[in-house]
Amino acid sequence: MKGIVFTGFMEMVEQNHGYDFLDDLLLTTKDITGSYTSVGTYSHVEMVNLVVSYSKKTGLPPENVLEKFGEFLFQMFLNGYPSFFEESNTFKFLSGINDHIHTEVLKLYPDAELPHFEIEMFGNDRMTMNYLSDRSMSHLALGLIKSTADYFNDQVDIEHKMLNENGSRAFFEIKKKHV
Amino acid sequence: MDLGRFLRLRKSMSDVNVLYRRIERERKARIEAEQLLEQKSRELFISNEELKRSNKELEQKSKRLSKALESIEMEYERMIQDLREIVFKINPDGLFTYINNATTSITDFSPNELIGRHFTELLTPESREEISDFYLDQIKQKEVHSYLQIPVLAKNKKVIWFGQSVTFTFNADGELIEGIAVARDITDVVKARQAISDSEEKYRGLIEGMELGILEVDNNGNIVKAYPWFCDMVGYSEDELLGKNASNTLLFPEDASMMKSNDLERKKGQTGVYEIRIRHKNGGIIWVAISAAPYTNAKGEIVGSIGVHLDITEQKSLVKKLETANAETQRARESEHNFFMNLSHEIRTPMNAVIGMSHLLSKTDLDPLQKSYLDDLMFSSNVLRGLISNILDFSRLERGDYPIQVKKFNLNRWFNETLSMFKYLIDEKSLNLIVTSEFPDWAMLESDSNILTQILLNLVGNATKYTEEGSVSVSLKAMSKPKGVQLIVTDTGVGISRKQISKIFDRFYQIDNSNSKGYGLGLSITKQLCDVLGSDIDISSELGHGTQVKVVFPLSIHSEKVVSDEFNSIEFKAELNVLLVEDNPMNQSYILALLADWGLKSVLAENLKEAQLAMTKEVFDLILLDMQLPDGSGIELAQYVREKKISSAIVAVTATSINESINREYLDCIDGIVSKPFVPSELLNEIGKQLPQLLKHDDSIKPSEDHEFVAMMVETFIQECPKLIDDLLKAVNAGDSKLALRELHKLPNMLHLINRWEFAIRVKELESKVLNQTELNNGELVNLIEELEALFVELKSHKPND
Repeated sequence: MKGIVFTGFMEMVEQNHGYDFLDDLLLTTKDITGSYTSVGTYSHVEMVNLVVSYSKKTGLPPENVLEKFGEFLFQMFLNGYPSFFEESNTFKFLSGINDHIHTEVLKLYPDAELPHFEIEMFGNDRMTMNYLSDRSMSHLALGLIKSTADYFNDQVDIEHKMLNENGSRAFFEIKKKHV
Repeated sequence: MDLGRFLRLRKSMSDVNVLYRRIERERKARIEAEQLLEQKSRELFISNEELKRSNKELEQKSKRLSKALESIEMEYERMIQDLREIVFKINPDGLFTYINNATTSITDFSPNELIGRHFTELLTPESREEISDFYLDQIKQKEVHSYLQIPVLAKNKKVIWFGQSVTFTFNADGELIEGIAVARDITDVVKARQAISDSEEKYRGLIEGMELGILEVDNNGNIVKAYPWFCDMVGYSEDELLGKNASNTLLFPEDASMMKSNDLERKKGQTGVYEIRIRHKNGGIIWVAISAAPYTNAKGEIVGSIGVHLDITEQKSLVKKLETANAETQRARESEHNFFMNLSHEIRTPMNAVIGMSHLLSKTDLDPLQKSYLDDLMFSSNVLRGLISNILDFSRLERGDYPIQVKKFNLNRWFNETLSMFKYLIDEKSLNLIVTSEFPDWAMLESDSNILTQILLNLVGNATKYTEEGSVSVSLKAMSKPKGVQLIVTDTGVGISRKQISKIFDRFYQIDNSNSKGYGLGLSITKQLCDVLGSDIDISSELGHGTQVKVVFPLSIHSEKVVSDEFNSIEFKAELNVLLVEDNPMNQSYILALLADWGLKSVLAENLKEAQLAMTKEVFDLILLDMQLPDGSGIELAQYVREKKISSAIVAVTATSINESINREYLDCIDGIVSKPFVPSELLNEIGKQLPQLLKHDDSIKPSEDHEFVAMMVETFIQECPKLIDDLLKAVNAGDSKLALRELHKLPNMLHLINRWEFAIRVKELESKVLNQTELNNGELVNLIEELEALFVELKSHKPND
């Protein structure tokens, strides 16, 4: 897992709880490097540990942690790479994750571990996305998806469910709200 | 220190620691980042270097390829320019973007003049729309390749035909990018094709116009094409004929086999012409002459045959009519011939009688004047016989089976004797007859004297007929080239015009019909007779001045039908000596001359005594014995010869008629009899009969005179015999000795004439008996009659067919 995820997580923790909290988190989480540079690459197990540790410390379930992180990451991406979000909408953006977003990521970071989405469009107001990833962090994706819809001001209903035990496959349905 | 300060201090220290850890973490992260950066930089540098190297390589490669491409392009450019074909490119708007130099030499437009112009500008005005549409359609269909023949206007306004191949290039969206074309000048090809097409049209027109009746069939005999004239001829339309089997549809069944065999010829590649019947649609018959030939495809395989059918129905019927007419003519000729043949018998019989009687008369005692008259009579009657024979044989001449009797005879003697006939005629008309001959008196001619006589008589007869005053000259000249005798008959008569001369030898052509002096056969026969002898005849004449006829006879002729007169061509092997016992001086010289003529040695004795004397000196092969001698009868000598067993043959030459009774016993002593007067051949014949072993010829001599004479006599005998037998029978039955005598009296002459000597003598004896007896001895008479009948049958069966 790319370092940017870790530094992002650090940022989120620091922003929400201050550095002391973060410091303590780093001290108390086991099997971690402790120092992360955004251009580095670290084992995703460290992220799992950090999330678990943070979840313990805050009492938030790890799924919620990931969802919150996803929302934080969206903001980070928006600030860092605003061009991707121009002239788009929720469906357009989400349907282009594989081809437009992730391909650009791979250009910079050829060894990035990214989830794969099986996307199906049903007209202009419904789409389904199957999440596939060995990191099993579909809640992170949920957070990103929610933030996307918020950003584009699209009133949508988002359904999210696991498709297997370990969460490496998950199902998302994004439906436009009918008012 | 208070707690607050302590806590504040501990907090500060803790804060410092936190800060310290933060800084530491940050430092670590920074170092890591820097390391990563370095690594990345190194990687980048290496990549760069790699890239630079690659680039350089590519550049060089590119340069090389560029150069190669350049030279290839130049090569192509040169090739294209050198091409005799025009190569060009057009853009999607149809404008020329490139065109090679070939265009200059072919159309006189240079590339520069054409680039930027629209391609339709070069086409002939009338073709622009059609061609433009074609290519637009090609483009719409996205057809990459196309070939079209287009007419182009050269600068000099001449039309040049091009065969143009165009390749269109389309981009990914299916839009035309450009067109590349190669155009070849095919004007010659187009012209040639046009000429061929025109020629085909011309010949098609010719063939269809000609009345040739052309039919084409395939290898199975089924009709592939029927030309209009053929259809007209057979009454079917082409549609009715196509696909049908020619033989089954058009031929009569019985002719089919002929067609089959001809078909086989055709399949072998032979041409042929034949006649056959064709069935018209309405069932009628059409005769055609078919000229057929096989015809082959481009590979040379026989794919069928073509026949030209010429309607010859007309000709066929004409031919049939001609055949019928011919047959009729032939029949007419046949009946004419038969008529002549029949006629000949009717005429010959009395003729033969005349000759026979003259002959017999000649053997009686005549005084010199009578003899002279008789000679002329005999000669003329012979000639008459010959004439009749020849005229009646005209039929045979026409047929071409004219018999020739070749013998040697004295030329001048024949000549003069024949011409003597005209003495009277000429005297009557007070003309001059001039007879000349270049030949010596001993000259012999080997030919058919009858035919020659006929020719001579005819020519001199004509000359005399048509000459009223002046002369007729007849001459014999010797010719060296070719060797022969030329007979020239010249008259000072009326002459013949040039026009008439050409027809003069035509049968029945007569110059002067009003006078009608002849039957018109004369010259025609003469010419044919000349042909038979292998002689040339030539007439020259001038109206009012006279005529000259020339005939050339070969000195000797050989004919398959030569019936040689054996008796005049006898030759004796050795020199024979003959004792002539004769007291009459005239007879002496006559016989001695004959003997000399025949190459026989002779000794003369005038009486018995001299004869006996002579016989003591030598042995004679033959004794010619006159019966009445001064000192006795010839019989005495004969008896003497027999007693003395002298081996000579004895021939009695007697003046007495056979009717006188010669004692039988005397007959034993002599070998043969010749009665005076005799013709030389009679004597010769007898001599030959007596001395056959000495003859050069192996054939035994037939006891007869010249064949024709004998034939005539036999003819006469056969005709007279039946009546005679009848009358004799009557006499026997009636016991009429007078009648018997009368008939018996006729017999010996007749028998003599046909050389039945012995029979004749017996008849004479019987005649004497009947004369002396008062009553008839039937037995002997009946025997005689039977013998007569037998003879009659014998002669009839040996008679050659006429």
